[in-house]
Amino acid sequence: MESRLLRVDLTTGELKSEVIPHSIFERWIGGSGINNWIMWEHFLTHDINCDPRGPDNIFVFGVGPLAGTGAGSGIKGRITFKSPCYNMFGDSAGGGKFPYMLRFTAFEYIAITGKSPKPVYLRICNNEVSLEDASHLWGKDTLQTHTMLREELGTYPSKVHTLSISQAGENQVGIASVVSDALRIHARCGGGAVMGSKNLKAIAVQGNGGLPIAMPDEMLAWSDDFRQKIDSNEAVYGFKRRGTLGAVEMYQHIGSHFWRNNQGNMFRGGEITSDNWVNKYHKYSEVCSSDCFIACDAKYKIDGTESEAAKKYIGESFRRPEYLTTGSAAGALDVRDWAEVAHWGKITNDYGIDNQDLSCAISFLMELKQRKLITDQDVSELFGHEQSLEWGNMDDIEACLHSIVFQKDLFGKLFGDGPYLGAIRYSELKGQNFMKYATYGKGGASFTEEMRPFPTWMNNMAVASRGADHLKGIGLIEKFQRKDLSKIYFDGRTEAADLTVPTLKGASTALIENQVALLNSYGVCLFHWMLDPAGYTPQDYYGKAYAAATGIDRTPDELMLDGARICNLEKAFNSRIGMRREHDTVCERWMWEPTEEGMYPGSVAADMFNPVLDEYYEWRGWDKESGLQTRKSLEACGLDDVAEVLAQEGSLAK
Amino acid sequence: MTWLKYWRKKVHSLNRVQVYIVITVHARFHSHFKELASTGEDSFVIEIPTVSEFAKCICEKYGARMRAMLIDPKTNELNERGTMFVNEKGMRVSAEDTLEDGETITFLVGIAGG
Repeated sequence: MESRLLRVDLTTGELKSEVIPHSIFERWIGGSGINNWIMWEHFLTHDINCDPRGPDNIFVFGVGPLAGTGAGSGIKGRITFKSPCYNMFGDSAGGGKFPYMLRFTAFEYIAITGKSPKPVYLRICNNEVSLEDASHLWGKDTLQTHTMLREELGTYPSKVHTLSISQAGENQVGIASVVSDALRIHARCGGGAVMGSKNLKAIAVQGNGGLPIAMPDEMLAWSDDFRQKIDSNEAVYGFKRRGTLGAVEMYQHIGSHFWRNNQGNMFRGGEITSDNWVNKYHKYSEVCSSDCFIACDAKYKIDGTESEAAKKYIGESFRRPEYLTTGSAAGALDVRDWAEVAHWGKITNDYGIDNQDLSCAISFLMELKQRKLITDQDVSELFGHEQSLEWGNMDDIEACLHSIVFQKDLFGKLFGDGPYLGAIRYSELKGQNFMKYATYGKGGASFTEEMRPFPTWMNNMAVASRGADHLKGIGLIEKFQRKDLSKIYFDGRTEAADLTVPTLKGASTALIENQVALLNSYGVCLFHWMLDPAGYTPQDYYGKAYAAATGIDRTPDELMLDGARICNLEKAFNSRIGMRREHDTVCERWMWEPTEEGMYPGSVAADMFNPVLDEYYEWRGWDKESGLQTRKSLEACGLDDVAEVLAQEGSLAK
Repeated sequence: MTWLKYWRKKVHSLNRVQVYIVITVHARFHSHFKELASTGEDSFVIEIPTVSEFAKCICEKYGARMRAMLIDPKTNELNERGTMFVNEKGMRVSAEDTLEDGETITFLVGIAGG
């Protein structure tokens, strides 16, 4: 297995092609693993404490070896950089056709440094690469940018697929995202601001090359088996029909929504509390990540008959809302109309902004207003005009979004990096401590789900390398109380599935982080694995597909060690910038404020937080007191060189 | 309730009339379950008060697709893949769990995040 990396220095305009040798795949698998290594190496020669919006930051795009192979497992590309909103390790996955189209050119990885003197876009057409003037695209949103590039670049050798930013990225808003084909969003951590800071508006790719597959027959056989497994599970049809919206009713039942800045955990209102809306208005899927046998996404066009509010958005077409878009609107902001939720999904995508961070920032302010902690005068100071900040008021919500995207007033400037830094800045400005109302973990914005009854999820919020993240160590065993999985993973023990005890929760985080690191490095979607974690094991079942695609045949144990290596490198990055145990924490609301509704009332993180965190460090082999990695733990996964760097900088446990 | 006590309770001989003690269990369906059942809730009278018997009754009433959703064909146990079945305390139930008269079991899809 070999691959090509395109290095782009935007300061000098130099474009350089490099071979990524087989040995790098042997060590880092691909996808996010290789991205991490490219960034790690970059910051061995550049100041890791640099301004993330400065030219020394790096922006890496990579796609794993299973993407585009016909494996049927969905494709995820990955962007990796130092996060401008959280000031730590940052990365984000996104689907669509851009990732596999990149594989059809001569490149699979792109590393961008420096800063262009003027707006440009990077064009890759098979093995030809160039930096093109993007002044005509500057000021456009992601849909306009994508449409214009498609018109300009034609359809040969293939349709154009794009990765672009909107005005939010151009304005270097910390929570600005990167959008693939104007449809699929790399939302988290502020990659859009990094692109904007480099004056890079977009990447446009066209390719018609083939993909090297080490063992094509084995790949096809695996793909066939995968298809049959998917088809034999009736739950998949429910997933095709609703996508992640299937979670709405489950969460409403157990109390796992994030309502009004997590003051509650159930949606209010009629239809918004169920997924009947899907049945009424949607057919089966039309669009999704390429190469996916499930295809849980679908297009939706508002026709105005859905509700009174829908009349404002007639003709608006986008993906139907997925769960977290719904959670951010119907939950965090208490929007009670499905058409408005759909509209929210579209505008946050078009403006290329993370609707998790955004909704948490807006709902933080709404709660201050609700509690009369700020006055109408205070609100006017923030926006330059009156604003009701009523829960669910879509006009107000859009005004807040515009404020952040266009950085046109005080609110936008204070909260452009999300709720955590926004709350700190606003508390300082007003001379009052409002942090009690900010929801975050490790400085990263919460994602809009209730987590207090679920100790593994809470631990994930505290330890995830990119801050408050549900995906890296996703707590499937615990939330779904899967004793069967707990038994498989932990030698017959069932505590990992028991919500009432801290035992095996930190262990679950560590184990699943390693598995997810593998999936992210293969370049596939997580959802197939989530539907059947015991069936589609990343280290075994997917490992066979990886072997077929790359020729790298590993045992399940070896692959789990590869996953651990990838996680440890992300941790080492954060240790180098000074993060320690005290940073592995969550907000006051989660820690101390009990849940009052749902099936698990009275839950607070504090009940189990420290034992779970201790156990996590133990399973990782890290020092419990400092939270730092030990030399032994790093050497165990073949990271002797990384241990040496940390030792030199005083970031290795003594 | 142990099996022995249950059977003692279930079958009584009284003047040569055999009396069966049966229980009623309620089902609440969500998402794909609701679509397959075409209703959000239903009630079942069952003779053996276990989740597996309850699931069997549901499958008999709603047919093959519901069976495919509820039962894992490989193990003939409850299908754990993409599903979640909880009692009124929010605890997941297993096939061998015992049910009480009047209890409600909720059938949910097991999806998280997005």
